[in-house]
Amino acid sequence: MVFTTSKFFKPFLSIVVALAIWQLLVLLIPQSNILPSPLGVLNAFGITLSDGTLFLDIATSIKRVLLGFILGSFLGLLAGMFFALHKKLGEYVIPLLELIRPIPPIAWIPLAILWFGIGDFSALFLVMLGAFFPVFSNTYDGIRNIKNVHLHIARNFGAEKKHMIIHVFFPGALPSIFTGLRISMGISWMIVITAELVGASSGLGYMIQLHRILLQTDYIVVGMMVIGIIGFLMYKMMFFLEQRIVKWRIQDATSTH
Amino acid sequence: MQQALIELKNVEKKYEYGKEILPVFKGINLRIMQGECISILGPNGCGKTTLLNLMGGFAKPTQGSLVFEHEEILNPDSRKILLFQELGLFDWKTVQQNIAFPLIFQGLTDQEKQQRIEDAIHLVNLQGFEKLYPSQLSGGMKQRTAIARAVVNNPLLLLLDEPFSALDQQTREFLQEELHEIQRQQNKTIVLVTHDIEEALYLSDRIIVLSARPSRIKKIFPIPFSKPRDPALRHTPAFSQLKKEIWCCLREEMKR
Ligand SMILES: Nc1ncnc2c1ncn2[C@@H]1O[C@H](COP(=O)(O)OP(=O)(O)O)[C@@H](O)[C@H]1O
Ligand SMILES: [Mg+2]
Repeated sequence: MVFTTSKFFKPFLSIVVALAIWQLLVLLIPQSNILPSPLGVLNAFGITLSDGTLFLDIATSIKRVLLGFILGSFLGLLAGMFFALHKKLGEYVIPLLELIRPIPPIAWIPLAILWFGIGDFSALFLVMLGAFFPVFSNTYDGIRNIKNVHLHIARNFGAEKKHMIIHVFFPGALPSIFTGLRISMGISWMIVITAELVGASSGLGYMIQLHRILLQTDYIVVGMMVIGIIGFLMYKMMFFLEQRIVKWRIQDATSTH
Repeated sequence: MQQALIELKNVEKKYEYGKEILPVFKGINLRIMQGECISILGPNGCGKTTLLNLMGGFAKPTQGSLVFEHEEILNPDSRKILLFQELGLFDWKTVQQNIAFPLIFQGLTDQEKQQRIEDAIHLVNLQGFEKLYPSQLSGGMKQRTAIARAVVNNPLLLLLDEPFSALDQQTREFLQEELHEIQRQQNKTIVLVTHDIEEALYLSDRIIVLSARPSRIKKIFPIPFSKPRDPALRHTPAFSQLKKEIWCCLREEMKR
Protein backbone atom coordinates (compact mmCIF):
# COMPACT_ATOMS: atom_id res chain seq x y z
CA MET A 1 0.00 0.00 0.00
CA VAL A 2 2.83 2.36 0.91
CA PHE A 3 4.36 1.68 -2.46
CA THR A 4 1.26 2.51 -4.47
CA THR A 5 0.85 5.85 -2.72
CA SER A 6 4.51 6.85 -3.04
CA LYS A 7 5.44 9.38 -5.69
CA PHE A 8 7.71 6.81 -7.33
CA PHE A 9 4.89 4.54 -8.33
CA LYS A 10 3.69 6.37 -11.44
CA PRO A 11 7.13 6.88 -13.01
CA PHE A 12 7.96 3.25 -12.16
CA LEU A 13 4.82 2.04 -13.90
CA SER A 14 5.52 4.03 -17.05
CA ILE A 15 9.09 2.71 -17.18
CA VAL A 16 7.82 -0.86 -16.98
CA VAL A 17 5.33 -0.20 -19.78
CA ALA A 18 8.01 1.46 -21.93
CA LEU A 19 10.29 -1.56 -21.45
CA ALA A 20 7.47 -3.88 -22.46
CA ILE A 21 6.79 -1.90 -25.65
CA TRP A 22 10.49 -1.84 -26.40
CA GLN A 23 10.72 -5.64 -26.03
CA LEU A 24 7.64 -6.03 -28.24
CA LEU A 25 9.22 -3.89 -30.98
CA VAL A 26 12.39 -5.97 -30.82
CA LEU A 27 10.31 -9.11 -31.39
CA LEU A 28 8.49 -7.50 -34.35
CA ILE A 29 11.60 -6.20 -36.08
CA PRO A 30 13.53 -9.05 -37.69
CA GLN A 31 16.95 -7.39 -38.02
CA SER A 32 18.19 -7.90 -34.50
CA ASN A 33 21.18 -5.56 -34.62
CA ILE A 34 19.23 -2.38 -35.45
CA LEU A 35 17.32 -2.30 -32.20
CA PRO A 36 18.92 -4.05 -29.23
CA SER A 37 16.68 -5.81 -26.74
CA PRO A 38 16.39 -4.62 -23.13
CA LEU A 39 18.15 -7.77 -21.99
CA GLY A 40 20.94 -7.23 -24.53
CA VAL A 41 21.43 -3.74 -23.20
CA LEU A 42 21.48 -5.02 -19.65
CA ASN A 43 24.07 -7.55 -20.66
CA ALA A 44 26.24 -4.93 -22.37
CA PHE A 45 25.85 -2.74 -19.30
CA GLY A 46 27.11 -5.56 -17.09
CA ILE A 47 30.12 -6.14 -19.30
CA THR A 48 31.21 -2.50 -19.55
CA LEU A 49 30.63 -2.14 -15.84
CA SER A 50 32.70 -5.13 -14.85
CA ASP A 51 35.62 -4.48 -17.17
CA GLY A 52 35.81 -0.89 -15.88
CA THR A 53 35.63 0.81 -19.29
CA LEU A 54 32.28 2.45 -18.52
CA PHE A 55 33.60 4.10 -15.37
CA LEU A 56 36.61 5.32 -17.25
CA ASP A 57 34.46 6.93 -19.93
CA ILE A 58 32.11 8.42 -17.34
CA ALA A 59 35.03 9.84 -15.37
CA THR A 60 36.60 11.31 -18.49
CA SER A 61 33.41 13.02 -19.64
CA ILE A 62 32.55 14.34 -16.19
CA LYS A 63 36.05 15.67 -15.69
CA ARG A 64 35.84 17.54 -18.99
CA VAL A 65 32.36 18.90 -18.43
CA LEU A 66 32.98 20.00 -14.86
CA LEU A 67 36.26 21.70 -15.60
CA GLY A 68 34.90 23.41 -18.71
CA PHE A 69 31.67 24.38 -16.99
CA ILE A 70 33.40 25.77 -13.91
CA LEU A 71 36.01 27.72 -15.87
CA GLY A 72 33.59 28.93 -18.55
CA SER A 73 30.87 30.02 -16.17
CA PHE A 74 33.37 31.61 -13.80
CA LEU A 75 34.75 33.69 -16.64
CA GLY A 76 31.18 34.50 -17.69
CA LEU A 77 30.39 35.61 -14.15
CA LEU A 78 33.45 37.83 -13.91
CA ALA A 79 32.96 39.34 -17.35
CA GLY A 80 29.24 39.88 -16.75
CA MET A 81 29.89 41.65 -13.47
CA PHE A 82 32.76 43.66 -14.84
CA PHE A 83 30.91 45.00 -17.86
CA ALA A 84 27.70 45.60 -15.94
CA LEU A 85 29.67 47.73 -13.47
CA HIS A 86 31.73 49.45 -16.17
CA LYS A 87 29.04 50.26 -18.66
CA LYS A 88 31.25 52.45 -20.85
CA LEU A 89 33.72 49.64 -21.49
CA GLY A 90 30.82 47.28 -22.03
CA GLU A 91 29.64 49.41 -24.91
CA TYR A 92 32.81 48.44 -26.78
CA VAL A 93 32.99 44.79 -25.87
CA ILE A 94 29.40 43.59 -25.65
CA PRO A 95 28.50 44.12 -29.33
CA LEU A 96 31.55 42.02 -30.21
CA LEU A 97 30.44 39.24 -27.89
CA GLU A 98 26.95 39.43 -29.33
CA LEU A 99 28.46 38.76 -32.75
CA ILE A 100 30.31 35.67 -31.55
CA ARG A 101 27.46 34.36 -29.47
CA PRO A 102 25.16 33.17 -32.30
CA ILE A 103 27.87 30.84 -33.60
CA PRO A 104 26.91 27.49 -32.05
CA PRO A 105 29.83 26.18 -29.99
CA ILE A 106 29.83 22.98 -32.04
CA ALA A 107 30.63 25.06 -35.13
CA TRP A 108 33.95 25.74 -33.41
CA ILE A 109 34.82 22.03 -33.42
CA PRO A 110 36.96 22.11 -36.58
CA LEU A 111 39.01 25.05 -35.35
CA ALA A 112 39.22 23.59 -31.86
CA ILE A 113 40.66 20.37 -33.24
CA LEU A 114 43.18 22.28 -35.34
CA TRP A 115 44.21 24.44 -32.41
CA PHE A 116 44.14 21.97 -29.55
CA GLY A 117 44.21 18.57 -31.24
CA ILE A 118 42.06 15.57 -30.41
CA GLY A 119 41.31 15.16 -26.71
CA ASP A 120 40.90 17.04 -23.45
CA PHE A 121 41.87 20.51 -24.54
CA SER A 122 39.52 20.68 -27.50
CA ALA A 123 36.61 19.49 -25.38
CA LEU A 124 37.55 21.87 -22.58
CA PHE A 125 37.71 24.80 -24.96
CA LEU A 126 34.33 24.02 -26.50
CA VAL A 127 32.61 23.49 -23.16
CA MET A 128 34.05 26.73 -21.81
CA LEU A 129 32.79 28.55 -24.84
CA GLY A 130 29.31 27.10 -24.41
CA ALA A 131 29.21 27.70 -20.66
CA PHE A 132 30.45 31.26 -20.89
CA PHE A 133 27.62 33.04 -22.69
CA PRO A 134 24.51 32.11 -20.68
CA VAL A 135 26.23 32.98 -17.40
CA PHE A 136 27.71 36.12 -18.89
CA SER A 137 24.44 37.59 -20.14
CA ASN A 138 22.37 36.53 -17.16
CA THR A 139 24.90 38.01 -14.75
CA TYR A 140 24.99 41.19 -16.80
CA ASP A 141 21.19 41.48 -16.90
CA GLY A 142 20.87 40.56 -13.24
CA ILE A 143 23.14 43.39 -12.21
CA ARG A 144 21.66 45.93 -14.59
CA ASN A 145 18.16 45.08 -13.35
CA ILE A 146 18.91 45.80 -9.72
CA LYS A 147 16.40 48.36 -8.51
CA ASN A 148 17.56 51.93 -8.23
CA VAL A 149 16.06 52.20 -4.80
CA HIS A 150 18.47 49.52 -3.57
CA LEU A 151 21.42 51.48 -4.92
CA HIS A 152 20.11 54.72 -3.41
CA ILE A 153 19.69 53.09 -0.04
CA ALA A 154 23.14 51.54 -0.04
CA ARG A 155 24.58 54.93 -0.98
CA ASN A 156 22.57 56.66 1.75
CA PHE A 157 24.02 54.37 4.41
CA GLY A 158 27.52 55.04 3.15
CA ALA A 159 28.32 51.88 1.19
CA GLU A 160 31.40 52.02 -1.01
CA LYS A 161 31.82 50.16 -4.27
CA LYS A 162 33.23 47.00 -2.70
CA HIS A 163 30.36 46.83 -0.20
CA MET A 164 27.91 47.46 -3.02
CA ILE A 165 29.31 44.45 -4.88
CA ILE A 166 29.21 42.14 -1.88
CA HIS A 167 25.89 43.24 -0.40
CA VAL A 168 23.85 44.49 -3.33
CA PHE A 169 25.08 43.70 -6.83
CA PHE A 170 26.13 40.10 -6.36
CA PRO A 171 23.29 38.81 -4.16
CA GLY A 172 20.76 40.88 -6.09
CA ALA A 173 21.89 39.26 -9.32
CA LEU A 174 22.13 35.73 -7.88
CA PRO A 175 18.71 34.45 -9.00
CA SER A 176 19.53 35.54 -12.52
CA ILE A 177 23.06 34.12 -12.28
CA PHE A 178 21.58 30.74 -11.34
CA THR A 179 19.30 30.83 -14.35
CA GLY A 180 22.47 31.27 -16.42
CA LEU A 181 24.24 28.46 -14.60
CA ARG A 182 21.37 26.07 -15.18
CA ILE A 183 21.33 26.81 -18.91
CA SER A 184 25.13 26.56 -19.07
CA MET A 185 25.13 23.22 -17.32
CA GLY A 186 22.74 21.73 -19.88
CA ILE A 187 24.66 23.19 -22.81
CA SER A 188 27.99 22.03 -21.38
CA TRP A 189 26.86 18.43 -21.16
CA MET A 190 25.51 18.50 -24.68
CA ILE A 191 28.73 20.01 -26.00
CA VAL A 192 31.08 17.64 -24.24
CA ILE A 193 29.26 14.63 -25.72
CA THR A 194 29.23 16.22 -29.17
CA ALA A 195 32.91 17.13 -28.95
CA GLU A 196 33.76 13.58 -27.95
CA LEU A 197 31.82 12.19 -30.91
CA VAL A 198 34.28 13.76 -33.31
CA GLY A 199 37.20 15.26 -31.44
CA ALA A 200 38.28 12.81 -28.78
CA SER A 201 39.41 9.26 -28.23
CA SER A 202 37.82 8.76 -24.84
CA GLY A 203 34.65 9.64 -22.96
CA LEU A 204 30.99 8.69 -23.36
CA GLY A 205 30.59 10.48 -26.69
CA TYR A 206 33.56 8.60 -28.09
CA MET A 207 32.22 5.36 -26.66
CA ILE A 208 28.87 5.52 -28.50
CA GLN A 209 30.60 6.61 -31.69
CA LEU A 210 33.05 3.68 -31.46
CA HIS A 211 30.23 1.16 -31.04
CA ARG A 212 28.45 2.59 -34.07
CA ILE A 213 31.47 1.62 -36.11
CA LEU A 214 31.43 -1.81 -34.45
CA LEU A 215 27.65 -2.05 -35.07
CA GLN A 216 27.06 -2.81 -31.39
CA THR A 217 23.75 -1.09 -30.82
CA ASP A 218 23.35 -2.53 -27.32
CA TYR A 219 26.49 -0.71 -26.21
CA ILE A 220 25.30 2.49 -27.92
CA VAL A 221 22.08 2.36 -25.92
CA VAL A 222 24.04 1.77 -22.69
CA GLY A 223 26.06 4.91 -23.46
CA MET A 224 22.95 6.92 -24.31
CA MET A 225 21.22 5.93 -21.12
CA VAL A 226 24.23 6.77 -18.99
CA ILE A 227 24.49 10.15 -20.74
CA GLY A 228 20.83 10.81 -19.96
CA ILE A 229 21.11 9.79 -16.34
CA ILE A 230 24.21 11.91 -15.72
CA GLY A 231 22.56 14.91 -17.38
CA PHE A 232 19.57 14.43 -15.12
CA LEU A 233 21.72 14.15 -12.00
CA MET A 234 23.69 17.27 -12.90
CA TYR A 235 20.46 19.20 -13.30
CA LYS A 236 19.25 17.95 -9.92
CA MET A 237 22.52 18.94 -8.28
CA MET A 238 22.29 22.42 -9.70
CA PHE A 239 18.73 22.71 -8.45
CA PHE A 240 19.80 21.54 -5.00
CA LEU A 241 22.61 24.09 -4.93
CA GLU A 242 20.25 26.85 -6.02
CA GLN A 243 17.78 25.98 -3.28
CA ARG A 244 20.55 26.12 -0.72
CA ILE A 245 21.97 29.42 -1.89
CA VAL A 246 19.03 31.45 -3.20
CA LYS A 247 17.02 30.77 -0.06
CA TRP A 248 14.85 33.88 -0.23
CA ARG A 249 13.45 32.85 -3.61
CA ILE A 250 12.57 29.31 -2.66
CA GLN A 251 10.87 30.45 0.53
CA ASP A 252 9.05 32.96 -1.59
CA ALA A 253 7.45 30.17 -3.56
CA THR A 254 6.42 28.16 -0.50
CA SER A 255 5.31 31.00 1.77
CA THR A 256 1.79 30.67 3.01
CA HIS A 257 0.05 33.94 2.32
CA MET B 1 17.55 81.49 19.00
CA GLN B 2 17.64 77.74 18.60
CA GLN B 3 19.83 76.37 15.82
CA ALA B 4 18.15 74.86 12.81
CA LEU B 5 19.27 71.31 11.91
CA ILE B 6 18.25 71.82 8.32
CA GLU B 7 17.46 75.02 6.52
CA LEU B 8 15.90 75.54 3.09
CA LYS B 9 16.64 78.92 1.58
CA ASN B 10 14.57 80.06 -1.35
CA VAL B 11 14.62 76.57 -2.85
CA GLU B 12 13.39 76.04 -6.39
CA LYS B 13 13.22 72.88 -8.48
CA LYS B 14 12.44 72.50 -12.16
CA TYR B 15 12.61 69.40 -14.30
CA GLU B 16 13.52 69.69 -17.95
CA TYR B 17 12.25 67.32 -20.58
CA GLY B 18 14.08 68.42 -23.72
CA LYS B 19 12.49 71.75 -24.50
CA GLU B 20 9.74 71.53 -21.93
CA ILE B 21 10.30 72.77 -18.44
CA LEU B 22 8.26 71.60 -15.47
CA PRO B 23 8.50 74.00 -12.53
CA VAL B 24 7.79 71.89 -9.45
CA PHE B 25 8.15 74.42 -6.63
CA LYS B 26 9.90 77.65 -5.84
CA GLY B 27 10.56 80.04 -3.02
CA ILE B 28 10.54 77.37 -0.37
CA ASN B 29 11.93 78.71 2.91
CA LEU B 30 11.94 76.49 5.94
CA ARG B 31 13.97 76.04 9.11
CA ILE B 32 13.61 72.72 10.86
CA MET B 33 14.84 72.54 14.44
CA GLN B 34 16.65 69.69 16.11
CA GLY B 35 14.07 67.33 17.58
CA GLU B 36 11.19 68.67 15.54
CA CYS B 37 8.70 66.57 13.61
CA ILE B 38 7.43 68.26 10.48
CA SER B 39 4.75 66.91 8.17
CA ILE B 40 4.32 67.92 4.58
CA LEU B 41 0.88 67.73 3.02
CA GLY B 42 -0.03 68.70 -0.51
CA PRO B 43 -1.89 67.62 -3.63
CA ASN B 44 -0.55 64.82 -5.81
CA GLY B 45 2.43 65.77 -7.93
CA CYS B 46 3.13 68.99 -6.03
CA GLY B 47 6.69 67.87 -5.37
CA LYS B 48 6.67 66.33 -1.90
CA THR B 49 8.90 63.45 -2.91
CA THR B 50 11.14 65.84 -4.81
CA LEU B 51 11.52 67.97 -1.70
CA LEU B 52 12.56 64.95 0.36
CA ASN B 53 15.05 63.96 -2.33
CA LEU B 54 16.61 67.40 -2.12
CA MET B 55 16.88 67.19 1.67
CA GLY B 56 18.37 63.72 1.41
CA GLY B 57 21.00 64.91 -1.07
CA PHE B 58 19.67 62.73 -3.89
CA ALA B 59 18.94 65.73 -6.12
CA LYS B 60 20.03 69.33 -6.34
CA PRO B 61 17.84 72.44 -6.36
CA THR B 62 17.80 74.53 -9.52
CA GLN B 63 17.98 77.60 -7.31
CA GLY B 64 18.50 78.40 -3.66
CA SER B 65 20.27 76.15 -1.19
CA LEU B 66 19.73 73.58 1.50
CA VAL B 67 21.93 73.62 4.57
CA PHE B 68 22.28 70.72 6.95
CA GLU B 69 24.45 71.08 10.03
CA HIS B 70 26.01 74.28 8.63
CA GLU B 71 27.01 72.64 5.36
CA GLU B 72 25.36 72.76 1.99
CA ILE B 73 23.70 69.45 1.11
CA LEU B 74 25.52 67.96 -1.87
CA ASN B 75 25.22 64.20 -1.43
CA PRO B 76 23.39 61.59 0.59
CA ASP B 77 25.14 60.53 3.76
CA SER B 78 24.31 58.43 6.79
CA ARG B 79 23.43 61.36 9.07
CA LYS B 80 20.23 61.94 7.09
CA ILE B 81 18.31 58.86 6.05
CA LEU B 82 15.56 58.84 3.46
CA LEU B 83 12.99 56.11 3.83
CA PHE B 84 11.72 55.63 0.29
CA GLN B 85 8.08 54.98 -0.39
CA GLU B 86 8.96 51.64 -1.98
CA LEU B 87 11.00 50.75 1.14
CA GLY B 88 13.75 48.97 -0.77
CA LEU B 89 14.30 46.14 1.67
CA PHE B 90 16.98 43.83 0.35
CA ASP B 91 15.06 40.72 -0.70
CA TRP B 92 18.17 38.59 -0.20
CA LYS B 93 18.71 39.61 3.41
CA THR B 94 16.70 38.51 6.43
CA VAL B 95 15.03 41.06 8.70
CA GLN B 96 18.06 40.97 10.95
CA GLN B 97 20.53 41.28 8.07
CA ASN B 98 18.58 44.17 6.59
CA ILE B 99 18.67 45.99 9.89
CA ALA B 100 22.37 45.22 10.29
CA PHE B 101 23.22 46.64 6.88
CA PRO B 102 23.85 50.30 7.89
CA LEU B 103 26.22 49.13 10.63
CA ILE B 104 28.60 47.43 8.21
CA PHE B 105 30.10 50.79 7.32
CA GLN B 106 30.60 51.96 10.89
CA GLY B 107 33.62 51.19 13.01
CA LEU B 108 31.72 49.34 15.70
CA THR B 109 32.63 46.22 17.62
CA ASP B 110 30.51 43.14 17.01
CA GLN B 111 29.05 43.53 20.46
CA GLU B 112 28.01 47.12 19.84
CA LYS B 113 26.49 46.13 16.52
CA GLN B 114 24.54 43.31 18.13
CA GLN B 115 23.26 45.64 20.82
CA ARG B 116 22.07 48.24 18.32
CA ILE B 117 20.34 45.65 16.18
CA GLU B 118 18.54 44.28 19.21
CA ASP B 119 17.50 47.76 20.30
CA ALA B 120 16.18 48.58 16.85
CA ILE B 121 14.23 45.32 16.69
CA HIS B 122 12.67 46.08 20.08
CA LEU B 123 11.84 49.61 19.08
CA VAL B 124 9.55 48.43 16.29
CA ASN B 125 8.38 45.20 17.96
CA LEU B 126 9.94 42.81 15.46
CA GLN B 127 11.04 40.21 18.00
CA GLY B 128 10.63 36.71 16.58
CA PHE B 129 10.78 37.82 12.96
CA GLU B 130 14.56 38.24 12.74
CA LYS B 131 15.22 35.22 10.55
CA LEU B 132 12.47 35.81 7.99
CA TYR B 133 13.00 37.22 4.52
CA PRO B 134 11.05 40.29 3.34
CA SER B 135 8.94 38.13 1.02
CA GLN B 136 7.63 36.33 4.10
CA LEU B 137 6.50 39.48 5.89
CA SER B 138 3.21 41.34 5.95
CA GLY B 139 3.13 44.98 4.84
CA GLY B 140 3.29 46.24 8.42
CA MET B 141 6.27 44.03 9.25
CA LYS B 142 8.08 45.19 6.12
CA GLN B 143 7.49 48.77 7.13
CA ARG B 144 8.77 48.07 10.64
CA THR B 145 11.91 46.49 9.23
CA ALA B 146 12.53 49.50 7.01
CA ILE B 147 12.08 51.86 9.96
CA ALA B 148 14.40 49.79 12.15
CA ARG B 149 17.01 49.83 9.39
CA ALA B 150 16.63 53.58 9.01
CA VAL B 151 17.14 54.33 12.69
CA VAL B 152 19.61 51.61 13.72
CA ASN B 153 22.56 53.89 13.12
CA ASN B 154 20.89 56.79 14.91
CA PRO B 155 20.77 59.35 12.08
CA LEU B 156 20.20 63.02 12.94
CA LEU B 157 17.43 63.41 10.39
CA LEU B 158 14.82 60.96 9.21
CA LEU B 159 12.97 61.67 5.96
CA LEU B 160 9.84 59.56 5.47
CA ASP B 161 7.92 59.39 2.19
CA GLU B 162 4.32 58.30 2.78
CA PRO B 163 5.53 55.50 5.02
CA PHE B 164 2.18 54.07 6.07
CA SER B 165 0.00 54.75 3.07
CA ALA B 166 -0.16 51.13 1.94
CA LEU B 167 -1.25 49.76 5.31
CA ASP B 168 -4.65 49.05 6.81
CA GLN B 169 -6.02 51.52 9.36
CA GLN B 170 -5.16 49.48 12.46
CA THR B 171 -1.61 48.67 11.47
CA ARG B 172 -1.13 52.26 10.45
CA GLU B 173 -2.15 53.54 13.87
CA PHE B 174 0.13 51.10 15.66
CA LEU B 175 3.05 52.17 13.50
CA GLN B 176 2.26 55.83 14.04
CA GLU B 177 2.42 55.22 17.78
CA GLU B 178 5.72 53.38 17.43
CA LEU B 179 7.14 56.20 15.34
CA HIS B 180 5.94 58.74 17.88
CA GLU B 181 7.72 56.76 20.58
CA ILE B 182 10.96 56.62 18.56
CA GLN B 183 10.79 60.33 17.89
CA ARG B 184 10.33 61.13 21.56
CA GLN B 185 12.85 58.67 22.97
CA GLN B 186 15.64 59.64 20.60
CA ASN B 187 14.55 63.27 20.18
CA LYS B 188 14.79 62.64 16.48
CA THR B 189 14.23 65.21 13.78
CA ILE B 190 11.67 63.91 11.29
CA VAL B 191 10.25 65.17 8.03
CA LEU B 192 7.18 63.18 7.13
CA VAL B 193 5.39 63.32 3.79
CA THR B 194 1.86 62.02 4.06
CA HIS B 195 -1.67 62.19 2.67
CA ASP B 196 -3.20 61.40 6.03
CA ILE B 197 -4.12 64.55 7.97
CA GLU B 198 -4.70 62.59 11.20
CA GLU B 199 -1.30 61.01 10.92
CA ALA B 200 0.30 64.41 10.42
CA LEU B 201 -1.60 65.86 13.36
CA TYR B 202 -0.81 63.03 15.72
CA LEU B 203 2.92 63.04 14.97
CA SER B 204 3.95 66.59 14.10
CA ASP B 205 5.03 69.80 15.75
CA ARG B 206 4.28 71.69 12.57
CA ILE B 207 2.35 70.83 9.43
CA ILE B 208 3.33 72.38 6.10
CA VAL B 209 0.66 72.57 3.41
CA LEU B 210 1.94 72.96 -0.12
CA SER B 211 -0.12 74.52 -2.89
CA ALA B 212 -0.77 72.88 -6.26
CA ARG B 213 2.10 72.84 -8.77
CA PRO B 214 4.05 75.03 -9.32
CA SER B 215 3.91 74.91 -5.58
CA ARG B 216 4.84 77.13 -2.68
CA ILE B 217 4.34 76.77 1.02
CA LYS B 218 0.70 77.71 1.40
CA LYS B 219 0.40 77.58 5.12
CA ILE B 220 2.24 76.34 8.19
CA PHE B 221 0.14 75.02 11.06
CA PRO B 222 1.82 74.83 14.47
CA ILE B 223 0.43 71.86 16.39
CA PRO B 224 -0.07 72.73 20.04
CA PHE B 225 -0.60 69.26 21.59
CA SER B 226 2.01 68.38 24.20
CA LYS B 227 4.07 65.21 23.94
CA PRO B 228 3.92 62.32 24.62
CA ARG B 229 0.62 62.11 22.84
CA ASP B 230 -2.11 59.69 23.79
CA PRO B 231 -3.52 57.73 20.82
CA ALA B 232 -6.96 58.82 22.01
CA LEU B 233 -5.95 62.39 21.17
CA ARG B 234 -7.41 61.64 17.76
CA HIS B 235 -10.88 61.76 19.27
CA THR B 236 -10.71 65.10 21.04
CA PRO B 237 -12.57 68.21 19.79
CA ALA B 238 -9.37 70.26 19.50
CA PHE B 239 -7.90 67.60 17.22
CA SER B 240 -11.01 67.49 15.05
CA GLN B 241 -11.11 71.26 14.81
CA LEU B 242 -7.51 71.43 13.54
CA LYS B 243 -8.14 68.51 11.23
CA LYS B 244 -11.00 70.39 9.65
CA GLU B 245 -8.95 73.56 9.19
CA ILE B 246 -6.15 71.67 7.50
CA TRP B 247 -8.60 69.71 5.40
CA CYS B 248 -10.16 72.95 4.10
CA CYS B 249 -6.74 74.43 3.37
CA LEU B 250 -5.71 71.31 1.47
CA ARG B 251 -9.05 70.93 -0.25
CA GLU B 252 -8.69 74.28 -2.02
CA GLU B 253 -5.46 73.07 -3.59
CA MET B 254 -6.81 69.67 -4.60
CA LYS B 255 -9.53 71.30 -6.63
CA ARG B 256 -7.21 73.52 -8.60
N1 LIG C 1 13.27 62.57 -11.75
C1 LIG C 1 12.28 63.27 -12.33
N2 LIG C 1 12.41 63.74 -13.58
C2 LIG C 1 11.43 64.46 -14.15
N3 LIG C 1 10.28 64.78 -13.56
C3 LIG C 1 10.07 64.36 -12.31
C4 LIG C 1 11.06 63.58 -11.62
N4 LIG C 1 10.59 63.29 -10.38
C5 LIG C 1 9.37 63.86 -10.31
N5 LIG C 1 9.06 64.50 -11.45
C6 LIG C 1 7.82 65.27 -11.69
O1 LIG C 1 7.77 66.29 -10.73
C7 LIG C 1 6.45 66.44 -10.22
C8 LIG C 1 6.47 66.25 -8.71
O2 LIG C 1 6.71 64.90 -8.42
P1 LIG C 1 6.80 64.33 -6.94
O3 LIG C 1 7.85 65.03 -6.20
O4 LIG C 1 6.94 62.86 -7.05
O5 LIG C 1 5.38 64.71 -6.38
P2 LIG C 1 4.58 64.15 -5.11
O6 LIG C 1 5.49 63.28 -4.33
O7 LIG C 1 4.16 65.38 -4.36
O8 LIG C 1 3.39 63.42 -5.62
C9 LIG C 1 5.60 65.42 -10.95
O9 LIG C 1 4.92 66.07 -11.98
C10 LIG C 1 6.59 64.42 -11.49
O10 LIG C 1 6.13 63.89 -12.71
MG1 LIG D 1 5.45 61.23 -3.80
